[in-house]
Amino acid sequence: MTALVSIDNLSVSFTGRHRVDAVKGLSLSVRPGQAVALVGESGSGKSVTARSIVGLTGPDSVVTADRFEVAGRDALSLSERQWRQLRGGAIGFVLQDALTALDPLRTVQQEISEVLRAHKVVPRRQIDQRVQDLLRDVGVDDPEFRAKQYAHQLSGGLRQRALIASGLAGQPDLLVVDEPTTALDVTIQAQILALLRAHRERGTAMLVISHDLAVVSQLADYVIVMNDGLAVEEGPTEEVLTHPAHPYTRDLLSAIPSQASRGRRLSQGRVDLVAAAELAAPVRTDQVDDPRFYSVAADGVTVQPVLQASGVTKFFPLPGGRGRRRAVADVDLSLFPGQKLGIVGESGSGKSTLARVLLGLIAPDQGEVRVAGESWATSDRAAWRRLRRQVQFISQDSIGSFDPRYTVAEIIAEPILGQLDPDQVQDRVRRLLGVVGLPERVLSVSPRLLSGGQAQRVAICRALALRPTVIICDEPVSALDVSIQAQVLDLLNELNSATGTALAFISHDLGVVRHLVDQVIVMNNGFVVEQGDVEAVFDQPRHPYTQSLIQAIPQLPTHRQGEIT
Amino acid sequence: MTSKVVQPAWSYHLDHTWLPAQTELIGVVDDSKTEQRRRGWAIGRLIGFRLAQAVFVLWAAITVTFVAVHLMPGDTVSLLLGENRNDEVLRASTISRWGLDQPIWLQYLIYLRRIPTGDLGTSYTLRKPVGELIGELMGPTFQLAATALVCAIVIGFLLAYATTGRTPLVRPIVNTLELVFLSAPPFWIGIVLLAVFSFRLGWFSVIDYTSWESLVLPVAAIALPMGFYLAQVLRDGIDRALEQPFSLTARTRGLTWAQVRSHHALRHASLPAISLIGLIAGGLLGGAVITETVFARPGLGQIAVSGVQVKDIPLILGIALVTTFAYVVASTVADLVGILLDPRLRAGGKA
Repeated sequence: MTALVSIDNLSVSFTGRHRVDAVKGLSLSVRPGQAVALVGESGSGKSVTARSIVGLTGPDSVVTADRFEVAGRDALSLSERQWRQLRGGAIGFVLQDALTALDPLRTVQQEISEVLRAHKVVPRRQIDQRVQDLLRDVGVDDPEFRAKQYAHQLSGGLRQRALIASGLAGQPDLLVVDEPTTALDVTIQAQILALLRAHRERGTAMLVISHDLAVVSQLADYVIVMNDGLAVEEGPTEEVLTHPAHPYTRDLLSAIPSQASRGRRLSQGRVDLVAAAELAAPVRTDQVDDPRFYSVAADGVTVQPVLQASGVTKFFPLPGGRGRRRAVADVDLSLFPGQKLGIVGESGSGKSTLARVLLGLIAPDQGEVRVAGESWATSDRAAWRRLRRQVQFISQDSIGSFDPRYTVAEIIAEPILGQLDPDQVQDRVRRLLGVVGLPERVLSVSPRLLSGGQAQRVAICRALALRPTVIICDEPVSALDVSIQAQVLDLLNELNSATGTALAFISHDLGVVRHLVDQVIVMNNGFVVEQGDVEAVFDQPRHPYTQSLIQAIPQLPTHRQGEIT
Repeated sequence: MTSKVVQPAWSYHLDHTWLPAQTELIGVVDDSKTEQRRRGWAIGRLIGFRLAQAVFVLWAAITVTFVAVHLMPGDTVSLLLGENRNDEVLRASTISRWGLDQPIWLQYLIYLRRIPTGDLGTSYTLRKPVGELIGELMGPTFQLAATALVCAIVIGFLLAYATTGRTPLVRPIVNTLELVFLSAPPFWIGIVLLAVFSFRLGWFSVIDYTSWESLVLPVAAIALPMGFYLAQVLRDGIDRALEQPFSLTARTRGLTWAQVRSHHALRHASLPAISLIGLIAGGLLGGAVITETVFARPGLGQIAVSGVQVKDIPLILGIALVTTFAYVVASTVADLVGILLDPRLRAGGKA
């Protein structure tokens, strides 16, 4: 059988103001029924490669290749009209994030029927019927009703299914899926992967674009690892993932946080533990006689939690005055000095609201939060400032949390400005920067020029500047590539052990949590459904919700082997 | 390294049963209402809200105008009497006839009470009921405004469509024209059009204001700058929509560039454009003054100017009422069209 896609030595360059070579000599072939994956981090050229297959790399791009055949045709000589016959016809294309990939002003019906009309797949009067058949086919219940809805009215999973249905509408031989499960919750991700697998088993060939090796291992039988526009390694998925030959692949694999990676570093490099302890260790936590943390009684020393929530409940009003929704429901938690607590749950579970309550940014409707024994609610202004210094925050989008007019030096110095004289502030900022592994030249840089990983390091620096007892991290590594994520996780982990600063780590990524934390609480619909030692919760989940979460984590083949259940 | 602290025993909280009882809908995906009912609700709510708002806006407009005209210099009675202003007897009878002996707040209340009955008082200078006067002169102004609006919309969409295509050269030409029409004051455009096309070329006469011919130049004077402005907003919207992922998705389905523009991008671009059209349309009735003056056309603008010059209070108030009403109607219609186009506005919250 002839290959659906057969590319030799593909190069794609963008000739804007600066020339960018996105793909530099990639070879690729997809045979009928095969599923090939392009794996790489951002900027590796994987999405550009995918778009070149439908001829949509954009007006200022230059595509060259020794051979470039798509669906049996020479793609380099295709006219726009011929390209259009391929797009949506022989090749279906599914972009990531259905919320933006589907037109928000058009119904699911209109979106899917667009393909049917463009390619005259069925006669006009059968279009409605076909749309419903397609929706049913991707596992949408009540397709007649769903077809009339808009993307924003559907849940994340249904939305993604509708998008996949539109990709399949032209009965393509090849389905290109670009990050098909990114931004989906883990249980929805598992459903979408199962759906794609089912279609693959029915004979649709696939080209999967992903940064997530675990996702790839679930879908593809052949994988190409890309880095900087080049394929660094390729081969059967099982082979590449279990016996990686190239150092880049090996690094990529070892950077994935999971149960197996617990207790080891994910990345190279090392934090200066002594300097970290000296610069950022919370004040006085090591003194046993500080009554805020320890109380000495006849039967021994009792440890006081640095952060404690009891019965915390928070309501939000529903739009249009239709009552209120419980975002956080009766949550109790205690965080002890030096401890790492994971807070996991899917979107809408209330974990970010809980973070804001713990930070004292919003007041709970019921219950209270105590920082080293003092409540946010009852503290006066001076006490409130003292508490504020003890609890610091790192968000997912740190660049957004920096004042764009400040330099990095000003951002880090801001919390400590009034407390030390200017020379000391500068000195402290410089040394903190060294601890998080950033070069001094970033001090004078605008935060907008920082990369995602650098921004998180600056955020960590700013948080540490006050010697906090607790840092609350809300999805701090979710927007990062896996190798950068590994560095930031290692940094947080080592800073925690060096300084004894406790971490409350909020994440939807169970692998990250499993790797990092000691204790975990699992949230669903605002409730804590399960909590305990991370091993206990992950190995023997007792709550059905936790069980479904853990079952849904896509596993790499190596981990599957080590884990006999 | 921190020493490992002794943890208290963790208790498992399994008393919260999983799902139904305590689950409240997240993200309010409300399936119980069909799309049509949702749309009906949103429109009903909007109209109700707008009616209440309209009453308030009209009241505010009248009150502000009432205060403003009474602060204007000039004695109303002398104005009414004209050359008889020194006739004491006539002065006394006039004052009582027009109710000018009442305190101002009472005059205000009396005026307010008469509005719902359709009685807007009698013009001091033209000696005719204001309602009747406005009714007569509304015709030409409305004709001018409506034609200009339609032309502006057509010009705006055509220009936006032409400049977002993949033809080079069109865009810089249109950009230059845009700059000219947007920076030139409207009366200047009117005068230039008049000088060139009427006086010099003699193509369009503006003498007989009832003929269609006389409408061409005033319409052009209003519609051209407006159309170019609209085109700018639309083009910006189209460009932004074409960069969105859904446009890429549409192209991966095999749609042509033109189809993506007309089926997807234009609709997105229309949303801000429609709000703008609402604002423009609302201002047209009152804003035609300058054009009407330049082209010497009868209309609301003309009597508004003369009314203000002679401090004809009932006339000024009547015109303020009508133009405000037009504004409220236009912006309500724009909002309704927005709701029809954008399902996200129907979900509640934003009105």
